[in-house]
This record gives sequence, C-alpha cells and structure tokens, in this order.
Amino acid sequence: MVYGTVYPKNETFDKRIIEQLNSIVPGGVSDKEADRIVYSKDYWPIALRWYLDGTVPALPDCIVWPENAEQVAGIIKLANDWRTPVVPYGEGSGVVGGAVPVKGGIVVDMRKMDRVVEIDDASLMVTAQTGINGMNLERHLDREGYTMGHIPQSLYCSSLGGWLACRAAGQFSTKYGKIEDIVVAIEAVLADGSFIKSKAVPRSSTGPSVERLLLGSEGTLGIITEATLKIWPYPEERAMVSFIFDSISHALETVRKIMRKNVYPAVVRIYDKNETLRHFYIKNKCMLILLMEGDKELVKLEKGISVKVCKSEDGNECGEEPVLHWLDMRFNVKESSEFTPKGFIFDTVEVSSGWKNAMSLYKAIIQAMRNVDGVVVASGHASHFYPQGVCFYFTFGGLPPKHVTPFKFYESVWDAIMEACLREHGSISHHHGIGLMRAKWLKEEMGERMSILKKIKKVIDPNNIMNPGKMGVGNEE
Amino acid sequence: MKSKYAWIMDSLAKTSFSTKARAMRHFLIGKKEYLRRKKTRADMDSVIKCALCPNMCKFDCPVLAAEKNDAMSPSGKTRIAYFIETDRLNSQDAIELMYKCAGCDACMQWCPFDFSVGDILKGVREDIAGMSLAPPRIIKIKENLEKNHTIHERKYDKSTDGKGDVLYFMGCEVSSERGEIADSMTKIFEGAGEKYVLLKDEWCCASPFINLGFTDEFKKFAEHNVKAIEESGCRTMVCSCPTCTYVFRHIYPQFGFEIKARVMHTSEYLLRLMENKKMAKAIEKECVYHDPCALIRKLGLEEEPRKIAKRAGMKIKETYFNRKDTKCCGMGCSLGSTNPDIASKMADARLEELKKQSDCIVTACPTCNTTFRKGGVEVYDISEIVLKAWEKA
Repeated sequence: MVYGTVYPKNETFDKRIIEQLNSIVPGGVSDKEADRIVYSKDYWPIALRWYLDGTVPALPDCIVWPENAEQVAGIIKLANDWRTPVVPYGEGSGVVGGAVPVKGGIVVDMRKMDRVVEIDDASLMVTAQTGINGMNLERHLDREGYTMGHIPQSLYCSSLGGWLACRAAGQFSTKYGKIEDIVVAIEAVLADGSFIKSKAVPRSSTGPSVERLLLGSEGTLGIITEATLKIWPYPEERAMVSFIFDSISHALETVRKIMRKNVYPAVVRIYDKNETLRHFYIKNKCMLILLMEGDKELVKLEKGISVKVCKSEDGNECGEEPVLHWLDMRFNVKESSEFTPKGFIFDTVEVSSGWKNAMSLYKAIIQAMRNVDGVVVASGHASHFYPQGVCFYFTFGGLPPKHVTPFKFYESVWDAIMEACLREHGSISHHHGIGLMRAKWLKEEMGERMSILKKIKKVIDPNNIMNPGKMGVGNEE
Repeated sequence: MKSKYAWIMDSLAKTSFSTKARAMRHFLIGKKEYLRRKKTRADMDSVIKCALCPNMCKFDCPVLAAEKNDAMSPSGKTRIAYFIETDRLNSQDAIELMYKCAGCDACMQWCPFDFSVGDILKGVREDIAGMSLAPPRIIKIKENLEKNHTIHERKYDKSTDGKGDVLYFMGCEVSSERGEIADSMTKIFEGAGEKYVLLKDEWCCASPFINLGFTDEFKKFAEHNVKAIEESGCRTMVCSCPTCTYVFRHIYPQFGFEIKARVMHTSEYLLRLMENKKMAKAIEKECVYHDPCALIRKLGLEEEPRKIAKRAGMKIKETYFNRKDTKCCGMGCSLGSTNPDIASKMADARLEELKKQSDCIVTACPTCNTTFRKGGVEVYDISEIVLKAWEKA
C-alpha cells in the first residue's frame, strides 16, 4: 500500500467479524483492498483533492451488502457485540463527509435493497426499499405515469435512503416539498437491532412522530430500510418563464411577493450577478427562472400570477430559453473534474434564512468568503423558496495561499461562512446535512436542543456504533 | 459574447495581485503535476476527470446494476485506475476490477465530457499488460485467440473461391454459434445476384485484443485482415456483427489500417436491398426489438433494423429502455469471456425486460442473439427475417 489515509486506521477491528458477517449475509461481504478504497469516501469535495494527492480519507475494514431488513438487524447486532462502527452507505453522493468511515468498521451498502415494493394509485403513494438509486426510482415511476417531484442535482447518483437520512431537497421542491414533506412512512432498523415501522396514512395525531427522528439523523441512530412516499400523476403541462433584474435583492423581493400569493412554481431559481454570467453569459444582471408544472389550468394560472408580479417589479422578460438551458445543463457537474486537478479547491454551501434577514445574510456570507485569503470565486444563488424565507446556495473556489494546506484553506472558508450565517440568524444547512464538515457548528446551531439530541443518541445507540464521529452527537467528542 | 470562463475572470478581477498570479499559473499549468508522472497508454486526463466526477452515470451502468458494488461503478473503476496508473496500487482485486466493464457506453449518454468509460479502461488495460500485471486468465484469452484466430471455434465450413464484389465477414459468433445467419446472408447474396466472397480462413476482427489491452496482437490481426479483405477484391464488406463493423470502420484507421472497401453492417445493406426488391409480409407477429449497444451507440443505427422487421410484417414492440437507452446483453467488450458471471446476470436482466413485451425477439447482433436464445425465447436475426420475406414474395 503506497497511499495514505487522513483518518487513522481502526486498529481494533477483529477479522472474525468478517467471518460472522458472512454467516449473516452469505457471500455479501468484502474486505478487498479496491473495494475498501472505493468506499473510503463520499463526494466530500476536499476528499477529491486528497485522493488526487494519493490519500484516501478513511478506510473501512469491510463492506457488507444486506438483502433484507433482517440481515441489516443481524449486522447491527453483531456490530454491537464487537463494538465496531457501522456506516450506512446509499450512493456515496453526500458532500459533507457523512459517509466517510472515519473510525473504520463496517460499511453497510444498501444497494441490494432496491426494490419498488408497491405503487398505490388510489392513495398516490409508492413504497420502495431505500437502497434504490434516485433516477431508477424516478424512471420506475415515470414508466407507470407518475413522478415523485424530488429531483435533486444528485438524482443520478444518490439513493432514497440517503435522501431521507440527510433530509434532502430537490430542484422542484418549491412545489413538491422537501423529502420530509414527501415521505409518508418509514421502516427502519435502530442502533440496537430493533425494528420500527410507521403507518402509511396521511396524518396521525398519536403523539410525537418517533420515526421522524431518523430523518436527518445521517445514519447515527439506525438504518432506514423502506419508505412510503407521495407521488403525483405525471404533470400534463409545463410552463417556463424567466426574468432579468438589476440586483439580487430586487429578484428576491419579487419572489417573496409571488410566494405571499400562495403560488408555488415547481422551480424557482435566482442567480446573483456572478452566477448569471457563469450560467447564462449575461453580465451585471440577475436571472430569475420559473418553471410551473401540473394541471393545465393551474399552470396557466400560476404562470399568469408570477409573470404579473415580475413585471410589476420591473423584471425584464427573457422567455423560455434560459429555463430550457438550465434544464439542459442542470446535471452537468463538471467543475470538480475540471478544476481540482488544477489545484483549485471548490465547494458549495447551502443555508436557509427567513425573509427578514435574507439580504443581509447573503451579503455577509459573500463578504466572509471573499475575506479569506486565496478565495477567487464567491457567488450564490437562491433555489428553494417559502412564504417564510429562502435557501441560499453559495459557491466558493480558490487556491490555498503559500504554506497553507488545502484542508486548512478549505476549513477557513467554511468557518467564515458558518460564522456569518449564524451571526445573521440563518440555519447552517438547508439540505446537504451535517456530516463531518458541519459537525463542530451544530451545537451553536441547535443550542439546548443539542443536549437532547445527544441524550437520544445515547439511549438509542449506547455503544455509539452508528456512524461514529459525525454530527457531534456521539460520545467521542 | 459567450465565454466559458468569463465568470472566473470576473471573480479574479476582484482579487489581490498575488492571488491573480497564482490562479493564472495554476489555471494554465496546474494539471501537469498530476499528468506528468509517467508515460501511459491510458488517457490520464480522462481517467482523472472521470475519477473526480460524482458518478452521474452510475444509475445506468449495467455492470453496477448486476453486481451492486460501487467499486464497479464507472467512477469507482476510474478511481482505482488512477491509483494503479500512479503505482499506488497493484493488488489482484484492483487489477481484476479493470476488466469489469461491458464497454456498452451507457455511461457516455450522461457524461458531461462524453467519456466512454469502456474506452478509457482499454488504455488502462494496455498499461496493465505493459506492467505484466494482466491476470493469467486474461492472458489465456489472448493466447487462445492468437492460436485459433477466432474467439470460439469455427464450425461453419462453407467458403468461396476467388474474388467477388461483396465480402461477407461473418464474425466469430456467427462462424461458431449462429451458422444460420451466414446461411441466410449467402442465400440473400445469391438471390440478389451478388458475386460474394466468404473467406476460407476468416480471422477475428481483433476487437478482443483492443478490449483487453494487447495492441501488438491487434496490429498483427489487423494486418492479416486488411490483406485478406484486399485480396478478396471486394468493394463492399458486409458484417453481421456491429462490433466488427465498428472496429473495421473506426478503429482500424486509428491504427493506420485503411480498408478500401465500404464497410457496412447487415442492417444497412439489407434495408437498401429490401427497398429495391419485392418483399412479402412473411412474419406477421408481434415481437420486441433489442438495440445492440455497439449498433446504436457506436454506429448510430436505430431505424434500419426496425424498418426491416416492419417490412417483413412484424409488429415491433419496444422496451422502456430502447434505442440509446438500451441495456447491454452482457457480452460487450469481452465481458462474456473475462467475467461470465457478471455477463450472465446482465443477460438475465435484459431478457426479463424483453420478455415483458414479447417472447419473440428481433436483434441485429449475433452475440446478443446467442445470449437471448439461452433464455428459451424465439430470436430472429434481421438476415433471417429478410430471407423469409423474400422467399415468400
């Protein structure tokens, strides 16, 4: 082995675990070197730089591929017996290091649990195992005449389980909601190997929704094995329109007024000046794109109201083309491949804010990024909207100054963003989650709630085997 | 004015002089650090770009779908390829991983760089062979092909003497497993009054050598084939196998081997023939058409086989994954020889999809044809369809 690891190897792993895993999941275990290297990382951008430099973040001791919930429970019970870490793995597309096995142990790849169990047309629900890839689920629905409306940029390379565990949001979320709005029921194996299952009913006033603790728990409490989700008949009509504004504040104000009318376009995106130049080649302007879909008459109505508001706010109409361009390019993720080998360090950071603080938060974060020595690009767009506020999605890119390690540079930009966000009353993550990168900021974000979260973790996972080292909830901090 | 990097320039303008200078330097020469390590046959720029991608094509990779192991995803393989190429890794399982690809180009449909991971890995395998790291069973496949001049074993014993206008290049699958296709084609040539040639000693088009990274052996075969094609006197060369067609048409010239004859796939040749001859609706039944990967993704032949089947009276049904969304039968890029277990799972998955539509499958690739026959369904090659339609006219 002539490559390094960033996190130290797990020296306590007993090889007998692999033997015992094989009796639970016959033939579904690997400790091959190539497999361990591939499962050493998710899509945490700094890990790409490490990889290029010949270093993997953290090696798991083995990977296991369960085929049913009973096997998942068996794996977790075994891990408890040995006090060895368990890291759930969907598709490895997380961008904050949530699936990096920092303490080694067993990576549980859920990919073999990828069946669509049932489509309930009357209730507009789909039940699927959580190992299913997002695009494969959407394709399955599409051929039956439905959509889930959950279309994250990672659709092609993320999984249903990952969406639920990280509380994901898709590009069409302004209309269809985020994953916690879409999910109806879940089935999960908790950290002690016990099962929980909720009912696939639209609502239930039966005390706190215990199962919802797992949404956003990022594998620290258990593994979600199956989920029932809302679906919709495939939209019969789509309308697209775009407007140019002189400033981002102007564009934001326009959308705020649209949202106040209880109108929910599926896609609403506002790009700041730098990103308008980047994506639409228009200088010194801010682009707003809107896409409505669904029932023909409803779409017509939504478009009419939205256009009217945009025009009343002095927006210049640019037609469908910018929206079509976005549709065409939205899955073209090239930057990391193009710029990482050139030594640039890139990342995206998404936060949320109420309308009252939106503009000051945007300005503060852009300024905070620019203040870090070495930052070249500091830009943002807004991509998920509510009558109450907005999600900002920032991009930074740059080069570590001399004598500053790539990670140190990367971390200092992150710290600057997090500090500015908290100062301006925003939430430190809208949909990418906590993982490794935000773990140290979660306490400040949550205040007293953090101690409750830690207590819950201790009760459900007393041995701290589930995804240890993440979110700052384990006993290792 | 659309400028790809205007947004970066716009940002750079707001930075200090030292940041500007470093950024420009990195932008222009930063990549060299990763590319200059050693001379490789693999295109390292592509290997790196693919390895750093979030794996946006993985959902459509049939090998990953069969094996469910992220190491077999496109970016998973190129990540390992990067470590092999930079002398960080040479374990047997890492080397083995490099051969687990069907070269079906499903990945290419979704790649912002238009990469074919199959093609990227061919270069990696060449480096592996150069480092004497090729697994013994891979060497065995190469040696068998060198010895027998065909992938399997030639069972088809018909050939012609002398020269002709049209050379029918059977390909290894037809000459070994699917002689009926060759019989259909020769009858069609005779009916059409074509002076055709069937080589006595037809060698493999040599694609397996390219697939597995043995370019010297490829060149030897290419040299032999070019000579044999030239000696046949043909002006047109018709291949039943889409891979043979692609290799003769596109890969040979890349290595400096020019085939003077016009290289055609049977679907192109037969459709033209059908348009000029009286054909009967001889097979009035419902069937499903399977797009072979090489035919649709490498050669772009989409409608020709469908038109042929329709003209013969067939009602064509489509799978959800049709045309460029087709799913590989598992036998692409020598995967059937190198990893038969994976190939078999892929075949089962595709067959299941096809059988949902019909128990009668039409295809235009002899290898797909043989693969699906094992599933106990009726499988037609387009040449058999044309012959029936013509005989009944």
